[in-house]
Amino acid sequence: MSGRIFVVDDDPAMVEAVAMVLSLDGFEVDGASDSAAALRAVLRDPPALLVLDVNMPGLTGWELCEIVRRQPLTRDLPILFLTGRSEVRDRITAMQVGGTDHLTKPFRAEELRARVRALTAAAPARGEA
Amino acid sequence: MASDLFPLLVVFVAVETVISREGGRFLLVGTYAGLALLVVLSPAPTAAATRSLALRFVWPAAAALGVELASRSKAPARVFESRDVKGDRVERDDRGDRDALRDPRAEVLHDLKSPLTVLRVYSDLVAEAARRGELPSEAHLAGFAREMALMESLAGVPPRTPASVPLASGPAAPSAPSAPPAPRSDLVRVLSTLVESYRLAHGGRMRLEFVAEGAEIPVAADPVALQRAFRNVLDNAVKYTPAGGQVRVRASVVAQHAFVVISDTGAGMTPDEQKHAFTFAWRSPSASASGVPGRGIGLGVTKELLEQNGGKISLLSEPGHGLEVTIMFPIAREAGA
Repeated sequence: MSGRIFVVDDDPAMVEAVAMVLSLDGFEVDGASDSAAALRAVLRDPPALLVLDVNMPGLTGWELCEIVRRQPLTRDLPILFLTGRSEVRDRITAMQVGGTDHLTKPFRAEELRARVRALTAAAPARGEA
Repeated sequence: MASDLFPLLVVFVAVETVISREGGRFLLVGTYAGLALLVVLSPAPTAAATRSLALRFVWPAAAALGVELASRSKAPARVFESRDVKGDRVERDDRGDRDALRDPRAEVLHDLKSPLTVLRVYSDLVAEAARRGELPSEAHLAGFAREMALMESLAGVPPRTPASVPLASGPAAPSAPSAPPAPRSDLVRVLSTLVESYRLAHGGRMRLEFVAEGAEIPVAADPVALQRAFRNVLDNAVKYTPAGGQVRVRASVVAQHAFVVISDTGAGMTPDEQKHAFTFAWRSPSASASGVPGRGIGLGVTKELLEQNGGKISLLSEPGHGLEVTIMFPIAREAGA
């Protein structure tokens, strides 16, 4: 399995931990703790999957997702939210702003790997459901 | 009788119009029911009876409506529109708004869930290696140890020496573990990305500025801890600075020390407030009265984080003239020096 994944979390330790997990499956992982820098990087060179935290200074993950969804190049990009926000309405909001999937912290490494495998395998099918 | 009731009906129609427009149907129904009851019980409604009815029901109902409208204006429904993937308008609540994200409970949970997740991920990776019969990766162990140390420092647990946690050694034991490399951060990089983020979020309300004397200011500190510490100080600066104000971040080097000064044009602190500012969970009466959300934890945690990384923090303020937070670190020596 291969492909480039971009991880955005205001906690650099989280970006690093997620990168280590996903690299086990052969993914190349880039990341940022600054949502503005992340947005620029993603729009310049869209990855195969975008992994987003929600609570961040500057743009929140939801806002970042909405912006990415409006751009032609990244309209169909699969987006996975990794967040400590676990209520039903958080999941609904994640979907309303264009998220593809939602995983609540703290998660297990194996669950993250399984979801990422599924999302990257099914990437072209996004929006058909 | 009909003429006696006419003024009352006029008042009723007016009140009904207002109440219906505001959706206060329960008030309308209650008023009608009370009026009907009195009219039925009254053998001969007169002008006096009409006035009495008005006093008893119509004006209290109008007053109740006024109270309701006033309370609505104080706590407006915080719903905003957005567009879904297909471009259709949708409504969602404002939990993505920064005020909501600063809800004390949500903030504490967020602060805990993130390091807990990192610890769990690394422990999963180590366990997975063990299931395969392999030694755990040095990088995974280092990540686990670093996050554990960060959480312990927040909890006030004294740091342990690395040698006190020996690795189980198998027949093909790796070479003797060397001391982990000293953490190193570039203050310019950490601060510039943080200020850029805050500018995006709050730049419309105030001016945020970052000035660095030098392209790089290396310090011997963990970048994760640094980011958390600076974020706490910036959060406070932004929260207590009114619209049109300014938050300025300056990074400089003097002799062998790096200095970061974060100043704002907010309300500032009295000498007594400065004395208690780093006390855990302490909030000044003026901060509590200001309505700005907070738990009085940020600066205490910041001080702990900075001191664990060789830094020091001090405050300078005059009430009404903003706050200046100065953070100092020893400059990191070159590797091998």
